[in-house]
Amino acid sequence: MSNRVELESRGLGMQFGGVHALAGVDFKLRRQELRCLIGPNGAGKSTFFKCVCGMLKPTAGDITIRGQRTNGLLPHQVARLGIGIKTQVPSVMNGLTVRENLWLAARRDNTSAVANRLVADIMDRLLITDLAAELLETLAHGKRQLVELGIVLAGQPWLILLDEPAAGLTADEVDRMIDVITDINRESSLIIVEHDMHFVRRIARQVTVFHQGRVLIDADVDTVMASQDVRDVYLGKQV
Amino acid sequence: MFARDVLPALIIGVPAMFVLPMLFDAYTLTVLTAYALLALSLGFIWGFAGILCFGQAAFFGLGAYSFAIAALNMGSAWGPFFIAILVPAVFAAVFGALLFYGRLSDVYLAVVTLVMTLILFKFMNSSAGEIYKLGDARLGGYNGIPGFETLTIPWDPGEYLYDESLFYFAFGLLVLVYILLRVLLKMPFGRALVGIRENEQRAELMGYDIRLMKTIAFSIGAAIAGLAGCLFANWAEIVTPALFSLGQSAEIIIWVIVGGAGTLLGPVVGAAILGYTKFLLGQQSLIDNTFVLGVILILAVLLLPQGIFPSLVRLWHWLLARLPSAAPLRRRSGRSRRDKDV
Ligand SMILES: Nc1ncnc2c1ncn2[C@@H]1O[C@H](COP(=O)(O)OP(=O)(O)OP(=O)(O)O)[C@@H](O)[C@H]1O
Ligand SMILES: [Mg+2]
Repeated sequence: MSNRVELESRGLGMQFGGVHALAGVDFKLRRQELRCLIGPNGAGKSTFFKCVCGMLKPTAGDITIRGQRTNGLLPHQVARLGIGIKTQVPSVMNGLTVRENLWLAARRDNTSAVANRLVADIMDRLLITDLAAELLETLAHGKRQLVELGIVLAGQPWLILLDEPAAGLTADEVDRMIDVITDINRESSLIIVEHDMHFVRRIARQVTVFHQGRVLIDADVDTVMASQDVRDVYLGKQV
Repeated sequence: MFARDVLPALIIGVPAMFVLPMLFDAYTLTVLTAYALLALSLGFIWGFAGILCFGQAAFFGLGAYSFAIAALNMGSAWGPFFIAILVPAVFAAVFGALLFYGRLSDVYLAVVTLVMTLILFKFMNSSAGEIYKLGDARLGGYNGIPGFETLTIPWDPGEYLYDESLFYFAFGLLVLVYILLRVLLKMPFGRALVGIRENEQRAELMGYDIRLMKTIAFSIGAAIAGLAGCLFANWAEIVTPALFSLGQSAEIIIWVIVGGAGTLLGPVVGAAILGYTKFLLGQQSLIDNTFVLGVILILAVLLLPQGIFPSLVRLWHWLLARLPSAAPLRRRSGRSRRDKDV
């Protein structure tokens, strides 16, 4: 049953004072899907992520994860459902080493022995084993992004939200990020917010476009890229 | 874990326990030990769980008062010993749960704990009347509670712990608590606490219930402060509202800052050095006590921002690196894991 809907939002709204960051988002994600979420600055992409993972409590509508209504759950409760997020502004434990960062994520739901193995595996996979003993605060931006992805993976989530994972990466790092994402997608569902259209083209099948807190269009990548509406909202920017 | 955490503490702690009374007078050492334990309690919750509590004196005072009140009512001291640990721990668990489940921000937490201390201070000061009586114990207002049973040797109830024997007991407890905290910080719970200190949001996104974990850490800190209060009560043989005073609360924070927040040994060293300085200053009336402590705090913050103890550790490594004969002992350079876990 690979087409079962695992994440669904209905009429999702998030209001900050007078600002409607989300104004009724209907969204569905099926099992093992890799979805790209795009849209101009301020469209509400990050806000949508924050609502899904419990960092914000939506002011309207519903979120359902694997059949369970989750609005009002706290971040740690959502995380325990098996959801991992890489936030737009990297959120890592700066004063701790790479290994400790990953270990804390891995140990939450595992014994220490399993966690140790998991951490070693993930560091291998991301080619960051040589950074194991480095403090996060000493790492360059690209490496921090990679470590944060490692933290997310160490929690072994089945749904992963990545908010601008390619931002600030070098070309090599982007290639590695794409390999890793493709690899992750063999087991987990993914939603990826990204501004870099080359990146989106390389990984996307289905793309959702947000505009002013709503879904503008939800279609396969070629249709979206060809859409006049999408071109219009990006105000002539090349899409 | 044993070789890295327990053994060094024993190797330094046990000889120190016997050497110190030869150098200083046991009576002074005992109160310094109680202070060190109190500093350790704040050093733990602040330095490792990131909870800045301005009211650690409240738990110190609660421990001391619980001991005195229970000792008067029970007529013995060993039951009260455990009550003195339990009462502050439970109080802190309830109080902490209100704060942490209410998602109070750090600054408010500091303010609220400060207010809690002030309230206890005011209450104890105004409890002189007949109605302020718990069983056989009168709270006694600003005069405090004197005349309670103190600790005896467990197998010889006639033999009181005082002077040197009380020091050995207090110091043994200090070493024990230090070791227990070191071990705790190596365990998943302790490591996750440090993670929360580093980045609360990420800890939550990893699935850690930070409200629960902070409440537990807060309660552990209060239990240790209560133990320190109990030792203090046994040393002073009287408890007074001054235990809850603002000055006492401020002093604990100064001990931790000067000694080195983010380490366990730092606060112990800070409390011992500053406590002794205060004792020496108390014997003269030329300069104001608080003034000197204030100057020390300012100098420490300006000159040794990491605190005395971490600076000593760094000096030690610096010396080692420059001693040719000690070259094999040199630490791997470059990989500067913080000395946070000392
Ligand atoms: N905490 C907040 N308080 C007030 N307004 C907010 C808050 N968070 C987001 N907003 C507003 O909500 C709108 C959507 O923001 P959001 O961060 O979700 O956009 P985005 O699509 O992620 O944009 P970007 O591509 O720039 O990251 C913006 O107008 C933003 O200013
Ligand atoms: Mg965003």
